[in-house]
Amino acid sequence: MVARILLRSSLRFYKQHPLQLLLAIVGIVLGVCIVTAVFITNNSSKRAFALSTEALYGRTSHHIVGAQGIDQQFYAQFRSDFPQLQATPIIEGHVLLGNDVFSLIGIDPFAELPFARLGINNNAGDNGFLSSLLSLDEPSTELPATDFSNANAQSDALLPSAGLLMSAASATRLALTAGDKLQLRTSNRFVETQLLGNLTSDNPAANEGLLIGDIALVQSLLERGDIIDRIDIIADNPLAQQIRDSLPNTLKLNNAASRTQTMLAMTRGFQINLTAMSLLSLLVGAFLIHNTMSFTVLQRRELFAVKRTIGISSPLLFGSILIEAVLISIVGSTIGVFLGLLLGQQLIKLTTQTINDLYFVLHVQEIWFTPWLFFGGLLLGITCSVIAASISALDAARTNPVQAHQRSATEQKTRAVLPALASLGLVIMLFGLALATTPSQSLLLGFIALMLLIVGYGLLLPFISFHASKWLKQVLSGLSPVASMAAGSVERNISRTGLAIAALTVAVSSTFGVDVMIGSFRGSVDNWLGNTLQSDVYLSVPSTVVTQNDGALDDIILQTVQKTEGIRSVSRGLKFKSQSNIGEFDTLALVPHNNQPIGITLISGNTERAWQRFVYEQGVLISEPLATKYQLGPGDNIKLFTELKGDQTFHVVGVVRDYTSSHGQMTLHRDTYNAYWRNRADSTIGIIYQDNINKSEATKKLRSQLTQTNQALHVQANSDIHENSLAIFDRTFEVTRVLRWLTVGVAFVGIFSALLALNLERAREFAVLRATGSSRKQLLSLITAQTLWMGLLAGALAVPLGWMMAKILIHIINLRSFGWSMDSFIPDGTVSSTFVLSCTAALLAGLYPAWRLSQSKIARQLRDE
Amino acid sequence: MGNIKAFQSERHRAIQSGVNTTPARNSDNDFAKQLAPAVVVENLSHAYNRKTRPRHIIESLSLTVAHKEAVAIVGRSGSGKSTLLNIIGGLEPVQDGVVQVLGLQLNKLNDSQLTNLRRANIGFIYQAFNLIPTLNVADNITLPLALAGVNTKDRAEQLAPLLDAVGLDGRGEDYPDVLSGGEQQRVAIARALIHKPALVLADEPTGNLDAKSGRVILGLLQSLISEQGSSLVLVTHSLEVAGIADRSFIMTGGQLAPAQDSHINGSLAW
Ligand SMILES: Nc1ncnc2c1ncn2[C@@H]1O[C@H](COP(=O)(O)OP(=O)(O)OP(=O)(O)O)[C@@H](O)[C@H]1O
Ligand SMILES: [Mg+2]
Repeated sequence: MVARILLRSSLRFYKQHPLQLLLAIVGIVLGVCIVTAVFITNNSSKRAFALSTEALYGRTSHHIVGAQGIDQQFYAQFRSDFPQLQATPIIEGHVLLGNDVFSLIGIDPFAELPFARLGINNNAGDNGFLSSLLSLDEPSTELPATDFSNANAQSDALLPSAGLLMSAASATRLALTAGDKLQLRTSNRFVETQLLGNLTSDNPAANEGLLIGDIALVQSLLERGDIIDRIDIIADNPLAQQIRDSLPNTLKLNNAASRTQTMLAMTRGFQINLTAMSLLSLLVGAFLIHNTMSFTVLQRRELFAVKRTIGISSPLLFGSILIEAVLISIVGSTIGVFLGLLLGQQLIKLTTQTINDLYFVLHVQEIWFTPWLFFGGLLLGITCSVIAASISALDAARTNPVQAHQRSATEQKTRAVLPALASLGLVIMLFGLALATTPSQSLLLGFIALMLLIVGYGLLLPFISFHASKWLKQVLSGLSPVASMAAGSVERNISRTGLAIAALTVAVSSTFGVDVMIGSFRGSVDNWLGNTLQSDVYLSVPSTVVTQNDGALDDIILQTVQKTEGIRSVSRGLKFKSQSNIGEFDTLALVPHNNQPIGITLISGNTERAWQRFVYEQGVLISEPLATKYQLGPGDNIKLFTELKGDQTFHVVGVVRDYTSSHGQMTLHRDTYNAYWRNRADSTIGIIYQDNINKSEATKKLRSQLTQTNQALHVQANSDIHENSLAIFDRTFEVTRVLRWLTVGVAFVGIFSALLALNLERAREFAVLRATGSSRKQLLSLITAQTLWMGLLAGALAVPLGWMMAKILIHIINLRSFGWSMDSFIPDGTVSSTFVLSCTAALLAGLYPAWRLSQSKIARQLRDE
Repeated sequence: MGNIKAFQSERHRAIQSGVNTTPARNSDNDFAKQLAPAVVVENLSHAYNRKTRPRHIIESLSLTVAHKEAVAIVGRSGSGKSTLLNIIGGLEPVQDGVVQVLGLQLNKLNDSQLTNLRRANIGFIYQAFNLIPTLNVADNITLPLALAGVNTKDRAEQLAPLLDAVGLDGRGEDYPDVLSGGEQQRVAIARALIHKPALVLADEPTGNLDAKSGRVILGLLQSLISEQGSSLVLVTHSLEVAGIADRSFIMTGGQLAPAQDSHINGSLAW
């Protein structure tokens, strides 16, 4: 009964303060929205990845792989060795259709059925996808009707000229129907084929981004010659062992699962980083939810005191506040989850771009959303709000009713605990710093350190703000009474202003920290690119996918280059994927400029010795992420699966700085490569001109000479590559930037509600000022000066915190998730923009209450008790 | 009351040095004030919620307060005393009728002119003290001077004798919340008087105080006002308080009637 009355009273409060209610809800909405969106994004891409692996592997239990593919003859031999075995050859590649990247998969339709991939429904008598391959949506007259259920049928049913299949969704999107011509761009040329029809499957999302065709056709489209990429088999363990034993040492039998693992591991760093950002937002969000909720309670302390005096028990009061918080947060969280869903769809676009830029081709079609996510978001919002509200509710319910009536009592109490809070904050911060400097690989510890640092600093803030304001008030008292009053009111209302300043500081510092992190990162990459791109011009085969720069250059190119005048030296690189005992890595077989370590920055190891061993002793250079993740360094060994001699041990002779891939890279000398792998054409050529040469003229000439070779070729000046790489870098951090702005949004709502509450609470005080002869303008400038001071304070306090956050993000979180070390520095303009941000936020937030107060009726406010 | 003497000479200095140069002040030199009544209210009517459910609080009320005169208004709770005071102080708009304060017709003044009038010529004292909790005693008292742009040194000079006069010497650095009710009201009185207003509006200045401190406050107010030569409009429930005024009115039915001796004698018609 009483509880009902209490709730009705709460309702009445919010009815009278609708804006406050709105802000409380908006704070929760934004907080929940950000976290949900990141969660959805991460899970959607994981899910898309799982779907596409499922689509690509189906029931495959093992793959047979070679260091560089498998000779087709081996497949024929293998089939006859294991006639009963379910085995099928696969070719995979990437092509461009218009601007879309597609995975082009070549399969053998006859051997395919048992693998149940691509959504094939493998019920007896139902050939699923394969039968849909036959009974096309729009039967093409060009296609001979063939009975595919007959496993002995001839494979010329799908002639190389026949064409490809794609998902109905892709076909609709590209406005293609069966029979339409497909103009594909492979790594070095345009090829033409036609669309046969649609892939149908139980899960349409699984087949997104795929082009499927007969293996012979795909082989010719991709110019693979007689090489297939792998053989998929279905085998139990004993049989697998038997097969493994029978394989030559240049071939390997791998578990299907391990391949998926490797690919997932590649994006781990990226997703962790995204999660880190969302946790940061969550922390800021939770902080602001706490603020908003505390304000709604703080404001009613006197009201609560009256209720206590009337005889309402403090548990009941406490309970009623909590119920109120739960109700508000249910509304906020629900909206937050759904907005998060919308935001997630946008973030997915950005992250997919990044994954495609940096890792592998991924098509995210389905938004991952489950009821659990909804409940999770709800729980998150409610928990944060309830914890936040309960802290202040406890205080309100506990306070002696007489004291609660006195505003000064609240302030005095707050002031009294400030030093204690600050000391506690210092201890927490020191603990966080200690944790941060503890050597470890644990990301969790890094996050905890980050959190402790933020929380500890947050506790310190009211104390600092109080004393800074007190000092400013004294300094200004002789100069400008209004300004002095403004500083004084921050000091005297520290129970409120402290919260608002802390909220603004934490939010602004997180943007500063992220800015410094991104700036430092970018700066390091920029430096590194400058050091690495030592050739004047690079030649390469245009690739369909940024990450896969591994097309082969015709010999004629190198010959042309070598005949060209004015060139001082040439470097040559062959990019390939090598399999090692710790996974699959991009590897570069390099012929360096004059065999000198040009463009190589060693992080550890003696450059001269390392280089000697690299060139003459088959040493391997590994990139930093590889070294960090697997604790490898000079002197360690790494086992590579070579094409000619199977597993071989190589010495790691140095660790090089490299920001190309967080997954890790290796570099071998081309002579080393040639000893263990079959000779192949280079994929890149670097050219250094002689000093007296006009470089752009020379490049122009070179370009025209190269056009005569008829190979599609990229001729890029090092500055172009430099720019492109930075563009990709920027794209990678687009998501982070979006999240950062959202955090600012959350912060703004927080500070807005704090200042609104603060100023409206003091309406009577302002009315007294007006009655005493202060003009509207004076009142406005008083409130503005007060908020400006808060903004300045927050800005100044945000910089050190942001710097510490950046340090942890750079040297701990990034290092532990990507394996990249980098120098931290404050990019130009970040400090000033931090101040601009905090002051703008504060001023904007102070504007409305100031305006409202200066408009309101003085007599009316004087009456308000 | 030697302190008050000192305060008086301060006041003359301030006027001579032209501290208060607001238009309202300029148009009201001492001579003009001698002639003009401090407050003239003619046929004033006032209603709340005029658009929805009008409640007529004041109807065709007239009142004149002469220069240096002290007028007391008594009346039933809710009869509209505070409303009248607020109208005279320019805090409520004049709806109907004419209100002249120090020769200025209020409904012809815009917001900033009203502000200037209050800043220069009116001092408010409230039942609930209405001190600014975030300012110390000295800052609270000198607030009107600060708002008028008087510099710190001059403010301090004017503050000292007044602090002494209200018996709060040495309490300037204290904040309102450590003062007793009586002390707080003394601060409020000092704040209302520091800029030597021509008109002081007091709304139950002793309403929140016990009888003894009420008496002290009242004596203080009376002596300061008469020494300053300000006019006073005093709203009160207390007969004793009304007793300090030159004339007393009772507010009933939205109008003022001269208070009879019978009221004063305790028949308590209101
Ligand atoms: N803003 C307002 N809106 C509506 N009614 C109001 C408003 N302000 C005052 N009133 C009403 O006007 C009437 C007069 O109020 P006022 O405060 O002037 O009375 P008062 O004589 O000062 O009473 P008291 O002696 O109790 O202070 C009251 O009935 C009050 O409820
Ligand atoms: Mg009243």
